[in-house]
Amino acid sequence: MSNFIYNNRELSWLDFNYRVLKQAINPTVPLLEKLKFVAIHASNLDEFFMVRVAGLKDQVDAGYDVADISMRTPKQQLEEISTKVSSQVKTRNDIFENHLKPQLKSKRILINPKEYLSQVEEIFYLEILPVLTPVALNNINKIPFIQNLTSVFFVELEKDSKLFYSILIIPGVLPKSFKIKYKKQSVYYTTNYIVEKFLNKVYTNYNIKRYFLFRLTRNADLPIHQELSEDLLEAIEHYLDMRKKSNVVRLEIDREVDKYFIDKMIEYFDIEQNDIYITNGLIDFSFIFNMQETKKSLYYESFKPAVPLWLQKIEKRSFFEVLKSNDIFFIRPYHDFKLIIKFLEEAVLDKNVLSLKITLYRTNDDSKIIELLEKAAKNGKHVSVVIELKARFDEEKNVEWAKRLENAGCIVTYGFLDLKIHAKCMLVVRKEANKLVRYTHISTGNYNEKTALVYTDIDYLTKDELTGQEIINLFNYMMGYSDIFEWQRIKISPKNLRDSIINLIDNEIKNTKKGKKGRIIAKLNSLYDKQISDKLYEASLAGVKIDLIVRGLCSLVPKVKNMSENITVKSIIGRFLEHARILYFYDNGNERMFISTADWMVRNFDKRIEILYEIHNFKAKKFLKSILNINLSDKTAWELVKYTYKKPHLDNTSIGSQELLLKSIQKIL
Amino acid sequence: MKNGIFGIINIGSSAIRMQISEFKNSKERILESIVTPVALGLDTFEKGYISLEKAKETAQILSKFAKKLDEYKIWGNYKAICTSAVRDAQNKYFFINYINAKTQLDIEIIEETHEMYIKYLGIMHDIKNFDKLSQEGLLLAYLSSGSLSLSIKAGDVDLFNSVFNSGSLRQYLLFKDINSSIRFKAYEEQMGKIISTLKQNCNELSKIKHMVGCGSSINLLVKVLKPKSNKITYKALNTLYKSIKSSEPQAISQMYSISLNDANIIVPIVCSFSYLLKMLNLDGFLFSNATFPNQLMNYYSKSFKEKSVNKKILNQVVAYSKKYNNDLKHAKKVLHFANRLYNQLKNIHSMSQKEKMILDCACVLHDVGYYIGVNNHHQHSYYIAKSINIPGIDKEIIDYVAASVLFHRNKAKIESEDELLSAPIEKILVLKKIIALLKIADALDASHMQIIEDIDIEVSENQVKITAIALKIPFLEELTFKNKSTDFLETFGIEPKLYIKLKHE
Repeated sequence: MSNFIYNNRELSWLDFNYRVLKQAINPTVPLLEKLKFVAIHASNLDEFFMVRVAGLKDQVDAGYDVADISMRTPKQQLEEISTKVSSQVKTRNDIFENHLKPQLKSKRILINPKEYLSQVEEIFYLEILPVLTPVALNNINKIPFIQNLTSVFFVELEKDSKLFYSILIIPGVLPKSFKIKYKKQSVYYTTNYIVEKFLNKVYTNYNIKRYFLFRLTRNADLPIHQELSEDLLEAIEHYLDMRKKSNVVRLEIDREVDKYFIDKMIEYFDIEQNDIYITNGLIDFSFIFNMQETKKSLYYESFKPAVPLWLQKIEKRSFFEVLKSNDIFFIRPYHDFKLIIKFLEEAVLDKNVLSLKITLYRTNDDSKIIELLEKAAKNGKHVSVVIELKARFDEEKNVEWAKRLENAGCIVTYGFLDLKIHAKCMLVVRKEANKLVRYTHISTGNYNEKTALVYTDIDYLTKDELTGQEIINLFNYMMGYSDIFEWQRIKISPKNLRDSIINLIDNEIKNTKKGKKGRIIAKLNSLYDKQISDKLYEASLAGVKIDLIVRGLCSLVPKVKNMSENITVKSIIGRFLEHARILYFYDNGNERMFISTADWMVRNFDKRIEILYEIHNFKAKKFLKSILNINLSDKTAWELVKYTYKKPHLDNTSIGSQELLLKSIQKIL
Repeated sequence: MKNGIFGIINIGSSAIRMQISEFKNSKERILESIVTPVALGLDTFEKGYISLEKAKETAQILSKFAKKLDEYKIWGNYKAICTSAVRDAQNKYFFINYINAKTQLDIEIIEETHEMYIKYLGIMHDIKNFDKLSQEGLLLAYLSSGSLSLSIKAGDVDLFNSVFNSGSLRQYLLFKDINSSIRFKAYEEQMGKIISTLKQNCNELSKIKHMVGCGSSINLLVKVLKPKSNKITYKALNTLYKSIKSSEPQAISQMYSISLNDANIIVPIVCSFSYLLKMLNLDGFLFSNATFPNQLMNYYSKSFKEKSVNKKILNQVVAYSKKYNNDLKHAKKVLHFANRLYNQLKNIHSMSQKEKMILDCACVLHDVGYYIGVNNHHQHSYYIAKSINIPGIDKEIIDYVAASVLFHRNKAKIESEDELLSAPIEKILVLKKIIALLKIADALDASHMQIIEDIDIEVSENQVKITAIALKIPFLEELTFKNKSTDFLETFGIEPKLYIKLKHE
C-alpha cells in the first residue's frame, strides 16, 4: 500500500482556485461575472495565505519538518506554493489586463483609464486627501504597524539633495473605488490608482524620486487560524503559545523594485524573499465586488427557484398533511429553500407542535429563521438551538443573534470546544391523535436564506420514525446529554462515519472480487484523507468503477496505471458553489444512496460533528441519481488526470450541469 | 395503563439514565433513551459518601434531564430513582436535598427488595417461559455495579432472597490495591463466601435447574462474548475467565475493545457468574438485557402486571413464617376471619387493597415471635416481621406489618410509642384500622384450637353483630374478644358484639 501516491493538499487547493480564475475566460460566463471570478480568486488567495500558508510557516518556525502524505515537508510545500502562486498571479494579471479590460471597454466600462483622471481630481481633494497621513521613516520613527490587507505606498523623496523615505497608508475607511459616469461610459477608478496619480499633491514640498505600492498579508487571529488549519497546528500545538501574533506571511508589491527596497521590506517585516510577490498589476481586486451596472446581459440570467411540480399541486395542503404519505426533497438553489422556511413557519404557528430543535452554523442577517424561532419560543414552544460559534469570520454576528434567541426563551447550546458542529438538521415534534410525531429536516447546506441562492444543496424532509429517533439522539449528543447511542440509519462523525464509508467501499470491493459489479459515485467538496484514498485505490485495483465529483481539493491521484485506472475525478465550477454531498454505492443492485454534510477529509471525519443519512425513498434515490448523472455528463467540468486538471473545451454554446439543471429542474422533479 | 408520556430517571452507580416513553393502548414507544456516565459508585463504594464534586456533576446532568421534562410537559408524570450508590452513601440526605434544590426534581431512593422486585417483574416479562422455569427451580442473579442480588424461586415460593454488596465496581474498588495478576483470587474468595451463605440459608439448591442473569453487567458481558442467542454458556464464560483473570486491565481493554473502566470490572463479573453456574452445576444461563430504566418505566407506568400479586406475596410470607415454626393453623384461621371482616365491613373501614395486604401479612406473622419466647412474643414477632426481605414488599408495607404485629396485643399501645406519636395522623389511622380488625380476628381463635369454624357478620345502626359458629363453647375467645374489641369501637365508632352459635344445635 505504501506505493500509493497522493496530491498535496495546498497545491491541490491552489489548482482549485486556478479553476475559479479560469472562469474569467469562460465564454459562457457573462462579463461582469467573469470579473467577479478574478476578485474571488484574489480573495480566496488572501484567505489561503492568512490561514494555510501561515500554518505551514508556523510549522517551519517550530522546526517541524515531517513530510505530508505527498512526501513534501512544510518548507518544500511553501516553496512550491510560492512558485505556483507567482504563476497564477501572472495569469490573473494577463486575464484582467488583456482579456477583460478590452471586453469591458467595448461595453463602455473602463477601469483606471489615464485619460479621465481630471474627472476625479475633486474626489481626491475632497474625499481622499483629508484622510491621508504620510509617515516619515527615519531612525527615530520606525515603520508603524500596518493592518492586514491594507494598501500602502512606499515613497522615496528628495529635498535639498537629501533622500527621505515615507510611507502612505490607504486608510480602510476609504472606499476601494469610485465610479463616475462620463461620456455615457461607466468609469471606475480604484482609490489606490487615484492616490498614485496624485501622489505629488500629498508630498508637495518634495520631489518624488521613486515609489511603489505594497500590501501585507498577516496570519489570521488564532481562533480563525485554528479552525481552518487544525491539521497543521495539531503537530505543533505546544509551540503555539510562543508564536508571534499577526506575523506577516506575504508581501505583494505592484511593480519590479530595486533590491535595495526588497531588502528594506525583508528587514521591516521580518519576512523572506519567497514571501514577496511582484504582481505587476493591481494588488487589490476587492473593488470588483462593489461594481454595479444596469445592463442585465452583463450578469447571469436571473432565475426564480422552483417549487417541485407535485408540491405545487398540493401547495394549499399543510406540510404535515403532505408528509404523512410523502417525503419532501429537493435541490437548492434550483428549488426554493423558502419551502423549508414555510415548513418552519407552519410548525411555529401550529398549536399541536410541542418542540423544535435546530442546528445553526452560519445564518444570514435579518434571518427569517431566527425570527420564527424567537416567535416559537415566545409562543411557549420548547425551542432548542445548537449553535456553532466557530464558523469562521462570523463569530460576532453569531453571538448577537444567539443572544436574541436566548432572550426569547430558546435553549441555546454552543456545541463543543474541540468539535465543530457541521451537521444541519431540524426536528419538529407534533402531537397528533395523542401520539408524538417527529418531523425531520436534514440538509447538506446551512439554514441561510442568502447562501441558499448560491450554494447547491440537498434538502430532505421526512416523518420517518427511525430518522426522528436518531436525530433526537444527535441533538442529545450535541447538547451534551450523552455520547452513548446506537446509530442505524444515520452515521455521524466523529463516531462512525469514517468506518461506514470504509465498509461501504469494502462491500463494493468484496462484490467485485466475487465477479459482480462494483460501482461508486461520490459527489463532494473536497477529498483529503489517506485512509479513504487508499481504500479507493484498493477498490480501483479490485475493479470497482469509481466516479468522483470533487469540486475542490483532492488528495487522490486518478488514472494511474496499477493504482487508480478505474477512478475518474471531475470538478464542476460554475455560477453556483457546488456544495451537496451525494453518495452512491451499487451494492450488488441494491443501489444505496446517501446525503451528507461531510467531505471526505480528516477534519470532517475526526474533528467535526457531521451526518451521513441513507435515503430509502425510491423517488428520492432516483432524483439524486439523476443529479449525479447530470454532473457526470457535464462537458464543461474539469477532469483530474494524475496530477493535472484537464481544461474543458468550451465555446459559447457549451452548457454545464448547472445551466441544465436550471432549465430542466421541473422535468427531473 | 393510561395513555400518555412518562419519564424515568435512574441514578445508578456508574451512570445516570433517562427514558421517556409514550404509552398508547398499552403499547410502549420509547421516545428517548439517554445514558450519561457518572461514577457515583466510585465515591460511595470507596469513601462511603458522595463528594461535592460528584453531586455537582450529577446536578448538572439532571438539570439537563429536567429540561426534557419541560419539553414533554411531564413534570407530573415522572419518577427519579436512586439505587445503591446513593442508598449506601452516608450523605444520601444531603445529596437528595442538594439535587432537589438545584433541579427541582423529586428523587426517591429505592429499597433493595423493591429494586429486586421490579427487576424480577422485568425479567418475568422478558424471558420466555419464565413461569415454567420458575416452577422448575430458578436462580435469578442481578449483577450491577453496586450489588449482587440473588433470588431463588421454586414452585410458587421464594426459597431465598438477598442482596449482597458485591457489585462489580464495588468488588473492583475493594480489591484494587491487589496486584492485578492475583486480584482474581480475592474475587473468588468473595464469591466463595456468598455461595457459602447461600448454601447455609437454602438447603434446596439441588432443586435449581435454571439460572437467569441480568443487570448492567450483562451488557458488558454480551459485548465481549457476543452470544448468538440469549444464553451465555459456562464454557464460553470459563474460557473468557481463563484468558482475563490475570491480565492487566490495559491488555483486556485492547483485546476486547472495551473501555478501561469496563476492563476493570469484567473480571469480577465473569467470576461471579461462572461461580454461580459452577455451584448449580449448570451449563449456562439465560440473560435479559432489558435496562433498569426500561424495567422501572414498565413498573411505574403499570405496564407490568403480575397475576394475583397479593396472593404470591402472601405465599412468600407464609413460607417465611415457616422458618419460625409458625402455628399455621392459627395463622390461617386468623387470616380467614380477617378476610371475612374486611369483606363484610367495607362500608365501615374503607380500606384499600394495599392495606388489606398489610392486614393479611400481619395475620400470618403476628405470633411468629413465640419461636423466640412466649413472654413478650409480640415484640419478637415485631422484629421478625421487620426483617422480612421479599421482593415486591416495600419497606413501608413491612413497617406497617411489623407495627400491626407489635400492637396486636393489648399490652402494647400506639399511644406509648414515641416514634408513632409523631407520625402523620393518616398513617396512625391506617394502622389503627388494621390493628382493630387483626385483634378481633385473633381473638376469634384465641385458644389456637380453631373452635370457631366460621363467622357471620351483620351490620346494624349501632352494632356489628358477629355470630361465631363454634364446635364447642369458645370460652377463651369470648373473653379475649371482650378485651380486644375496644380498639374496634374506638376506631370505627361502632361496637362489635360476639354471639356464639354452636354447630351442633
